[in-house]
Amino acid sequence: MSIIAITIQSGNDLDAALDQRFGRAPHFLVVETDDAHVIESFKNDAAEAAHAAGPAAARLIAKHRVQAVVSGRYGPKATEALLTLGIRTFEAGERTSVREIVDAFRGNSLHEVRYP
Amino acid sequence: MRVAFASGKGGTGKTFLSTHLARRLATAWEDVLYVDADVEEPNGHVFLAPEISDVVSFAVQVPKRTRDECDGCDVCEQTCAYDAIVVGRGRFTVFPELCHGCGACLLVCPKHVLRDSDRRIGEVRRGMSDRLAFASGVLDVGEARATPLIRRVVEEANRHVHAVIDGPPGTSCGAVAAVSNADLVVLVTEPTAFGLHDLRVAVAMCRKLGLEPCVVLNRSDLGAAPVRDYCTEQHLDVVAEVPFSREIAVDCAAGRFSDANAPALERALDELEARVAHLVRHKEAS
Repeated sequence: MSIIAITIQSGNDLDAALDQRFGRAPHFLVVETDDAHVIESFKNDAAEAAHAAGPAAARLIAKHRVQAVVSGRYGPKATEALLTLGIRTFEAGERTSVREIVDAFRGNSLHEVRYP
Repeated sequence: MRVAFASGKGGTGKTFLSTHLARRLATAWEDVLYVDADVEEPNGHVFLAPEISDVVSFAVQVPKRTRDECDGCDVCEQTCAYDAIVVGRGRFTVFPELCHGCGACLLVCPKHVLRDSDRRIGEVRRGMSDRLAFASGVLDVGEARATPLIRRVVEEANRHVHAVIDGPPGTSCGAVAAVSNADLVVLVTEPTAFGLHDLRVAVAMCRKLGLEPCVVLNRSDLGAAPVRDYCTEQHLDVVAEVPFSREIAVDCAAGRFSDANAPALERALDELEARVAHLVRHKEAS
């Protein structure tokens, strides 16, 4: 069983649309991928931060005990913080809907960000 | 005796006037230092052409984990006011560009596994330009926090009897560091809307620091903003006005000293020197 966070613009169900940014996405949707059900949706308090939104967002999702995250793009500090926190980091690629992303995650077809 | 130049607005003539004043003072007085504290774009050396005798690397402190006994308790992460630390299972990451080097994490670590380590952000260059001592802070390209280096280069003034400090534009921490502890603050401004706007902010900064600045109105015949009215209303000491002169502009553009053919500039320097001399006598008397 995998619990993942997905960066979204708004909403609280699988119809939500992806937000491309990790640190400054307005919301996170937390999904249990085995049966594709939504656990929770929460506001990203780091989105308005003056600086270093990436590490702050990484800390926030770590508190929600997710094992992986999916977003469009990650800044260098965000990827380092996610690595430190042991959260696997995936890119959504061309996919823009949460449903597609969950399917792709289950099919192991998302690109994982690899660290040097 | 310390004279600091500030302006709020960039490009009003801080470096031009401060290098001229420093050179002037050095001809008559013993042990005068010019400090270039505009560490993001220091260019006083273009006028002064100093011979650099030593270069000292400048580092700020960032925490480093020294042993493996960290149990990931994340007290350091919780304590850090700048969100510069992330702690995970057995992992510890510092973002050096966010760290302010305050040392709080070292104090709170229950396992005492954190230690300060040096991270270079720039250097201090020292030398001589004829009789004038020279010091300049140079921030490395890509570094975001200039203030620690500005504080460091301003400390060079402690090694000399007199110092002229050429500060950075703006009114944030770096400008504050450049003018703090000055005996005289000179705000260089111009009668443009931008000059006036930023002069107001610079005056507010000085007064918040308990300093009463004086003002030099540069290119005083260009622009139409009511800078003089503002100075009168605020009871600011306008030391001198330097009207625009093509000769000065040509010299300045070429990075040359300009006092040979600019009577208005000469008068401004006379006035500034008189202020400085008055303060020195006052200091000696007290």
